[in-house]
Amino acid sequence: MTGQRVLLVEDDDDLRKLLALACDLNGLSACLVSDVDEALAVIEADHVDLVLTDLNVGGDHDGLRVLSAGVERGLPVVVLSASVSFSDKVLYQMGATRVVAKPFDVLALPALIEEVHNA
Amino acid sequence: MLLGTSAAVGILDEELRLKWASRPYLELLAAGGDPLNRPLTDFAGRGANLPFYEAVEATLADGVRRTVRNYSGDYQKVFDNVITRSGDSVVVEVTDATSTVQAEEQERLARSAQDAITEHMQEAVVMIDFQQGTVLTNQPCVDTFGDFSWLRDFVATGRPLAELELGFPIDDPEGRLRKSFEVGLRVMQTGEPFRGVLEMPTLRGTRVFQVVSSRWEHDGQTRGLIDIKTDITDAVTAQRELETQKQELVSLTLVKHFAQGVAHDSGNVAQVVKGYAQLLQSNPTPEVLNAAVEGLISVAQRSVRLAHDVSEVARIGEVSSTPIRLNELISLHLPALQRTVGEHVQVSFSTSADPVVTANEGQLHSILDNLCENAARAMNWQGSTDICLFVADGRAILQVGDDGPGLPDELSGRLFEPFSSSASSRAAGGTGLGLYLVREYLKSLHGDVTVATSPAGTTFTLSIPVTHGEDESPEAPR
Repeated sequence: MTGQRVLLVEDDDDLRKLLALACDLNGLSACLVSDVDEALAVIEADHVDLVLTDLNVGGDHDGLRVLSAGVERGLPVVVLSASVSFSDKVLYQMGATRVVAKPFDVLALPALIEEVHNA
Repeated sequence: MLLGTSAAVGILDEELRLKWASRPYLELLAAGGDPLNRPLTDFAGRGANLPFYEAVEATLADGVRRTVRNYSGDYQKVFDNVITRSGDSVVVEVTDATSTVQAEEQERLARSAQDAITEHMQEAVVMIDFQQGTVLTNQPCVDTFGDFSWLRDFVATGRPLAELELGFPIDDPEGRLRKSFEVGLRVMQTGEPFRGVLEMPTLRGTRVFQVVSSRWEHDGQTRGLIDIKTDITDAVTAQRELETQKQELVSLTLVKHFAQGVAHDSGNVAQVVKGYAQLLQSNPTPEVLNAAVEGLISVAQRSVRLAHDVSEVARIGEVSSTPIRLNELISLHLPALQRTVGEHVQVSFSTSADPVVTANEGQLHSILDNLCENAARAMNWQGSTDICLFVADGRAILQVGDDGPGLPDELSGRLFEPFSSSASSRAAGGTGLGLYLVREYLKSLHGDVTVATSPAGTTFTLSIPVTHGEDESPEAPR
């Protein structure tokens, strides 16, 4: 499982630091970015096996762009959502593999990644 | 019998030639040309007087007395003729009917004008004819403002319009009818037509009118005033309702956007708290503890700032305002601003004026704090930010500029919307409400804020109405 290359898109500095620590403690190889364009470049360069993205990136729902790009590449995409403006149904229709509401269980991250990768 | 008459009398022979005429008759001939003593053939091509000659011939033939109207040779005069036979002559008694006919014609024209405005117009029309001393109104006008008998009586006296005391049968506590009438008076005096919208009390309640008022010119002379009022109340009401609905929709959208922003931020804070708690539980190492303490303090500070800014949003417009010298306020607040931006950002202040504005001191501090903090963040907390104060067009202009890399295009359009900033800037101390608060504070002061940005830096320009200024030099400082 540790071989999975995970892209984590989160523009909240406090939350990104937490996720970086959680990935580190769980032995996950994660690339953490705060910017959507940076995330798209990583996906484009084929450097990842799986994407976890916040929905509300950059003060807008730019996480949808990350979702679309990942789906287009055939990558499993997990959307982390604290938003009340998008229903899970819409996100699944757009191709999300899993939609996880915040706050989620950071200890369950490895299991989530494993599950999504095998889905 | 006829010699002593003061009537205009002429006697024509059987050839229709004048045999004798009284002095008034001769005077009429001199004044208006000879209407009678002309051969019938003269009128063959201009048949206006033909009926007269036919009547003379008929009376000559049958002796029956006839009355007929004819015209002077130049058609400037109108005569009424009574034709009788006396032996083999015809006696024609002429009366100058010109003024009577003109009056009848005026009356007919006035009636047709009245008919026209009554039949074909929904607008309330008043035509004041100072030449004739009459006031014409149509039914919509009467239904709306009454019959204007008081105005008719006044105009008939021939006194100047300025002396008119309004006699509308309508309560007009705010004097709006008088104002409307003064519009007409001004039109009469200046000759400049008026076109505008006036709200007025009427017999049917307060209505809104599109008003067109212009001087009535006739033959190069001022004849009177024509005033046309179109009732646009329904359209205006519909427009106002639409505006209200639009405003409500904007407010609702803003509230939803606001709620989503707060919910998202709270969700992230909860995620950080829960996450560190879980990591500490499963990995109670000094490394995790240090990271958790740092992360928890950071989100706690964020939450405090967010709570503060949300409560500030709730207080907009509810705080007291006092006259404040901007120059002094900024100078005294500079050390606090320097602390806000940190030691690697240099804050400078220059001014060429000392304007006084009516505002709340705390809100002005918040505006400066927000803009300077924003500038420092844009420069990654390193560089210089300049505050510049001057007065132009009766407004205090305050500019806060930085030499950062400028704003991204996609952000500059919605910069003042709540939670439009990126979460990284929020995590770096911003709440996403700072610029929204700046704009709302300024709105409550009847001021505004604009932003100009380029790769060389960003400048926010604030404009606040000046209450008083010792030096209102319009020149911007260099």
